[in-house]
Amino acid sequence: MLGLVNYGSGNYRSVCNALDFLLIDYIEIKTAKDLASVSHIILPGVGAFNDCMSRLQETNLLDDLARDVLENKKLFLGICVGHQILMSLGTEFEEKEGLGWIPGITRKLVTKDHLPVPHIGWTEVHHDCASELFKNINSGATFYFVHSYYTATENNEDILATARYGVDFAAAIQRDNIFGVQFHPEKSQENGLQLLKNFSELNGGLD
Amino acid sequence: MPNHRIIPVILLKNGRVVQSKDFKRHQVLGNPSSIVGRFSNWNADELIYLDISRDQNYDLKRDDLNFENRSSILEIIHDFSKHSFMPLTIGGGIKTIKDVEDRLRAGADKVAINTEAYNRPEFISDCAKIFGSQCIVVSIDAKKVALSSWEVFVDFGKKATGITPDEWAKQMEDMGAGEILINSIDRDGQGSGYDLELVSKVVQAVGLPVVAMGGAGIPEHFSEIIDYALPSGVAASNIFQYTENAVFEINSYLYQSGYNVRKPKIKSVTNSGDS
Repeated sequence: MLGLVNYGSGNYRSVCNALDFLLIDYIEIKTAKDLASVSHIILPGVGAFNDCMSRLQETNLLDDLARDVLENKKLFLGICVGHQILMSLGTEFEEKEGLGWIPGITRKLVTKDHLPVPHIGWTEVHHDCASELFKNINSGATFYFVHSYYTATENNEDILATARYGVDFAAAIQRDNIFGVQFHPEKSQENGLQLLKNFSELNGGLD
Repeated sequence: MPNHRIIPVILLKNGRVVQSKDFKRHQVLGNPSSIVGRFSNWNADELIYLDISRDQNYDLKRDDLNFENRSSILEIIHDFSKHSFMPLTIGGGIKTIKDVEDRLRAGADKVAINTEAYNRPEFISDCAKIFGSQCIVVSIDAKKVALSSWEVFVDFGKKATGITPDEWAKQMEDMGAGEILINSIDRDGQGSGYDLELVSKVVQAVGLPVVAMGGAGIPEHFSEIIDYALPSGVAASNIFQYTENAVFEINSYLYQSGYNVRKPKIKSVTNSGDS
């Protein structure tokens, strides 16, 4: 069973709509006990790093979530800011500690040709086609991005896919059972839906 | 290089989809649900929905209209986002935090704020703090007042503000806006091309993505504005209503001419189920 964390993130409803459309069963995760029956967890996110992290802390879900992901190895997918907070440190407005499940920090997008920031739009995502998360998605397929920061992982091997907006940055990251995508699969038409379907079909976790 | 976004704009007035000319004349084109349904098959990069109803009280008293104004917008967003997985911006009559929240909750990704940003600039910073800059679009209506000189108008283009659009865009960036939609009042419904200089001034003034609007009549107008002003997005309304596959046609034209746009595709997603 897939669980979708609802902590007041603006794109929660959009992710629900995408899962409904794909006929994927899921439950809403609001409290720690909702975690018991799920094998796959999606953490949506929009807005700022600090705000997202604070809201998540207010749910009192974090300890159980961390145990399920880090010890029980449940499959996890963070979307946009839900992916950025996987880093050890956020640097938006002021420094704020993240979940630290994948070592690294968030960095502001600064391009030498002074492209507009936030980066809003459809951008090609490149990957080596080895990951099950990108099954049936060509390298170079476009996804919808809206962000001003990106994840700078400490280890290059944690980068699953890259995109280019003046600079190359991580479009998707992975460490073991933990995945994160900078783009919005729930707003990326067929490529995005395919990615959500792929995540729901990954093996691991409980069932 | 970033992709330029091609963005259809749907204008809604008193629950009906309309075509606009000179900010004054609005011709009814039809029922929003059928028109929005059509757009969702077009694989547009994004969609903007602007409600230009002038008097909400008037609508609320009218039982003979099929669509009650306020609820129809939220319903349309709701219906749309259940079937179409693309970014959606909603604008028109947004005055409170609750207006923003309602629209985002219903499935909008961004809201476009116009007159209220002028009445209360701090509304923009409040919204940015609560919802994040990425979903706050400031929509600017500008009119040419002299040679190479433009002025921002609010209240559906009726009220002059004495501010230049580039100055205003910069101020809105400082308040926390995440995107600027610049619309030329003079070019509205003319089909004679975008106001190149106006858009260019605003693009130069800010470090934010700028979306150009007003004046598209033929596909060449899209390449013309991209060449001249390099906006992040090019929006248009009427041109997308005339022909069935206008999004595809314009996208194909730009793609084949070597512009950095998304590869054209005619069909959007279909349900994985039996429907």
